[in-house]
Amino acid sequence: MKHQWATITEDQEERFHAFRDFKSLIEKDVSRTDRTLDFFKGDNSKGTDTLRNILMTYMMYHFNLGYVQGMSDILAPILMEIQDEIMTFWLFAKFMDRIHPNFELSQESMQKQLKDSYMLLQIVDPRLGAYLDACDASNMYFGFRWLLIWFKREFTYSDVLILWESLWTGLPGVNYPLFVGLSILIQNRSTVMENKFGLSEILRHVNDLSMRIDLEKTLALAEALYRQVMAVEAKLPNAIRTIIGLPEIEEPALDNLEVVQGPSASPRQRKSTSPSPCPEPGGSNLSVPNENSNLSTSPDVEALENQYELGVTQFM
Amino acid sequence: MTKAYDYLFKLLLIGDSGVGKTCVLFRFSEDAFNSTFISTIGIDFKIRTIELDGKKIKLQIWDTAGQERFRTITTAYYRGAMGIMLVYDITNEKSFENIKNWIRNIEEHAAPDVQKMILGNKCDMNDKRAVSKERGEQLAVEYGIRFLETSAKASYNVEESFYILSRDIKSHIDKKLEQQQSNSGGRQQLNNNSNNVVLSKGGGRGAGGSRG
Repeated sequence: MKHQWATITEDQEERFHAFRDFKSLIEKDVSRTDRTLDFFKGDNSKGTDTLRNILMTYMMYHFNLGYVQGMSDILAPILMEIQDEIMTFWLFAKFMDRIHPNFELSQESMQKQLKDSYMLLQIVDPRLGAYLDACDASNMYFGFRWLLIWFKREFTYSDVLILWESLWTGLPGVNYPLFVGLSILIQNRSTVMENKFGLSEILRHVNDLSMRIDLEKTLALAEALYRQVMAVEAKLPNAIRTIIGLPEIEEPALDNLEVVQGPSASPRQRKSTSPSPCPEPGGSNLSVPNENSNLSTSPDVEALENQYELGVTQFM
Repeated sequence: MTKAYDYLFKLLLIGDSGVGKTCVLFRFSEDAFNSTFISTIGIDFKIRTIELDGKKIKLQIWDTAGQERFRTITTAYYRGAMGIMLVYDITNEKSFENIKNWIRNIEEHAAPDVQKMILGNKCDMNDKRAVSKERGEQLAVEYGIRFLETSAKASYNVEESFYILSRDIKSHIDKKLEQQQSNSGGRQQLNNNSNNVVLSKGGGRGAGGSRG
C-alpha cells in the first residue's frame, strides 16, 4: 500500500485532486503534531517521516475517509510507543476501525455522542445539566475535542496510553468515553457553577484544562458514574439504555420517554432553566428526555443524586 | 459599578486549514509567534481589550478548525459574531479560491450585517507566493469588503487589521444606535455594554451571553 502513494508523480497528482488535497493536509498536520517532543522534532526526523508515511498509507487504505484532522493526534502516541512503522500502522488502522465514525464527513456520530453525553449528564447530575442548558451549552460542543480524539490533547502521552488501553478493553461498557468526558466535566462542576460561567467561559475553562487533569481521579469518577447509572438500570428509558448498550425494554409507561426534538417539546425544562429561550446553535440537534419521563421527579433519581453527591465528595 | 469595557465585540477567524488563523490570533492577543503550533480541533477563543475613540472595546476572538467537515460545529459559533476575518495563505492558491466558499458559508450562517475582512496571511514568504496581492484586492473589491496582507510571523498588519475591523463594527453599531434612537424617540441606554445585545440579530444572545 505504501507503494501506491509513493509512486504517484507530481504530474499525476495534478490530475488527482482528492489525493493531492489529502496529501497537503497531511503535510500541514505532520508539521504541527507534537513538535515539542524530541521524537517529532524537525521536518525529516525519523519520527516525523514515519508519522507522514503511516498517514499517507492509511489514506490509501481507507481512501473514502482519507485524512481528517485529528488523525495525526491519534497516531502520534502509538507511533512513539511502538516505533516500528508496520506494527504501528496496523495498530492505528485497528484503532481507526473503532473510531472512524468520529471522522466521517457527516459528523453524525460526533453529534450523537455529544447529544448522548448530555442525556447521561441529565441522569448523573441533573443540576449541572440544567445549568448547561440555561447557558446554551447543552449541545456539549465544548467536549468535541475530548471525544473526537479520545482525550489525546488533555493528557500527557503516558496518561493517554493508559487511558486508551483501558478504553480499548471495551469495559465496563459501550460508549464509555462519554463517561470519561462526564467525569472531567463533573470534576469541574463547582468551578463552572460557582463562578457562574457562561457558554464562552465554559469552553475556555474546558480548553484550559488540557494537561492539568488527574487521570486516576478521572477514571475512578467515570467508573462511579457508570455504576450509578447501572444501579438504576431497570428504570432507565430506552433512549438511555441504548447509549450504554443495554437491550431495549418494553414498558408502556415508558412509551413517551422516547427522545423528543426541539425546544417546544419540553416547555417546562425551558421555563425552569432559561430566562430567555433561544434556538439551539445547530438547529435541532439537541434532544432531551421528555418532561413526562419522571426522571426529574422519581425518588430513585433523587437517591441517585444524593449518591452522586457522595461520589463527588469521595473523588474530589 | 464601572465596567472594565464599554463594548464587547465577538469576532471570528475562518479559512482553510493551515492558513495561520491561530498564529494571527496569537500574534494579536499575545504579540508572539511560535512555529510549533498545533492544529485547532473544534473551537477556541482569545480575549484582548483595545481602545477606540476613548472607548474600551473587549474583543472576544473565536478561532475555528479549518477542515470542512468540522463546519457543523464551527458554524454554531457564527451566531452572534459581529465581525469575521476570512484568512487565506498567499502561498496556497486553493486557500484563496476557497474564500468564496467561506463567504457563502457566512451568508448562510452569520448575521446579514456582520462586518467582514479578508486577510492574505504569510506575506513574509514572498518567494513561495502563489496569489498576487492584486488578486486579493480584486476579490475584496468584488465583495465590497476590506483586504490586507498580513504576516503573523513578521508581525505585519495584524494589529492594523483587527483595529480596522473593530472600527468598522463600532461605526456600524453607532450608526444603528442613532437610527434606533431617532426612530423610537425614546431614550436608549448608552455607554453601557449591553449595546451589542440590543443590536444583535436573530438568536441575539450570542454577544450578550458572555458574562466575562
